[in-house]
Amino acid sequence: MLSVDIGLQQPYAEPGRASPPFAVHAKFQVSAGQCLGVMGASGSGKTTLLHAIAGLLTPAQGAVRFGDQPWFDAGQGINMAANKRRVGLVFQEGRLFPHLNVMQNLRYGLPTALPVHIQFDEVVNTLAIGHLLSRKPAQLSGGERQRVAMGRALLCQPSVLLMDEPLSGLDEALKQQVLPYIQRVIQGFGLPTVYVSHAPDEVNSVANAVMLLTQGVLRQPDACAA
Amino acid sequence: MWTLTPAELAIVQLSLKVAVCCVMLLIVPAMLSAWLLARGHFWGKSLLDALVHLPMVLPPVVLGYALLVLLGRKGVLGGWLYTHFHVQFTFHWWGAVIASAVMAFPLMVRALRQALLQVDPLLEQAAQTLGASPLKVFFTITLPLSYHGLLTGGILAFSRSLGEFGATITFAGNLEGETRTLPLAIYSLTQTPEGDAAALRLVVLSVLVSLAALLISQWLERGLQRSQR
Repeated sequence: MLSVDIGLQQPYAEPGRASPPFAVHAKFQVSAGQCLGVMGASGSGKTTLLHAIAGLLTPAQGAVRFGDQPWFDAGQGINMAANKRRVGLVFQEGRLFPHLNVMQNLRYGLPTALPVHIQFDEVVNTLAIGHLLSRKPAQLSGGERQRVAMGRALLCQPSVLLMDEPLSGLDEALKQQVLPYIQRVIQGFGLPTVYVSHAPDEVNSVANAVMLLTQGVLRQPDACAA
Repeated sequence: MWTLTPAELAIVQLSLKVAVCCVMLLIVPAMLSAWLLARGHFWGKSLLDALVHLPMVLPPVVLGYALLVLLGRKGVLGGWLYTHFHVQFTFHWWGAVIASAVMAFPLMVRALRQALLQVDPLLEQAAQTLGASPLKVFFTITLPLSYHGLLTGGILAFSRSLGEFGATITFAGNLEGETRTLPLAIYSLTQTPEGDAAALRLVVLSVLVSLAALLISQWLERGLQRSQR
């Protein structure tokens, strides 16, 4: 179970842009096998939220826990480094390592000491990327790239899966091709998942619950409509 | 006519040895400085930047003299090294290495910094989320993606070392077989009566050595590009 209750300053606001940095507050829980969809307009702080969970930036207040393990706790001064949290983060643009082939990208986060519960072959089969293993990222299509990025995130044996608009760079046809793989990953590996997007149809087809990030606060959709 | 005399061969060997050691000596400090300048945010960064570039704007003789004051046998650090460890840099080929390393340092740092700035920090961030420690991120992502900078910096430092004159002659001296590299040997011959023909041979030799170094570096670069494609 992932429990998040944090407040932070949105640091990604571009300098010179009209809107000044604003505060983001989010409180939610996601249990194993569940997928929480987080919706919001671009610039609403969705990526900021995921990066705070992953440990790439430090919230100003609150706590992030996985089970009874605190990853971040402002009160107790706990802030676990990003590389210790074991969070599978799938980025908007894939961010595959250009100098490594698909196989090396997939194996990059594979721990050598920890027990492996997500197997290489299982991931490769689920995402149907077996025929791509010797290729370099530059030789992949956009959809293939995102599938490899998902595989790479899964193989670091994460306890939580975070997806940051994994389909935003793809055209409609490719989105429809990749979407079933995302559903298979969410259902097949049973990890608590947070799926961030601005597209309602996309979120509805993968998430069990949806929350909206507006004006810096994460709320239930009905509370927002009221 | 077409074969090298033993003396010429010794000069070329010494020059190459000094240049190779100069590059080796520079890799770690230059990478560290380049990384600090490319990625660091700290007080005094502009000062470090200026200090790193100082050898590019100072006359080499000034640096040679500064090295003498610092590392010479009676120097601040050099005196201590000599009394305690019997280590001496003046009139020793290591002195030539240090003199050319100081001169080549800014060139190597500039090349490396430029390459580091081109590595996408978002890829390093991705590696971090995959459980990589900062050290693993550096050696598996940052360094491989900035290899061309290391190569360019290495070539620049190597060439700078082959051509180094002022700092070397001031600090390490002009001792045959020990610190008399190609430029120093050419200079010495031009100061000798009837030395013109021998000097000309060394000039041609310098051109050939530099040309060979450039061709090897091009070949290395092509190999590197192939491996990263």
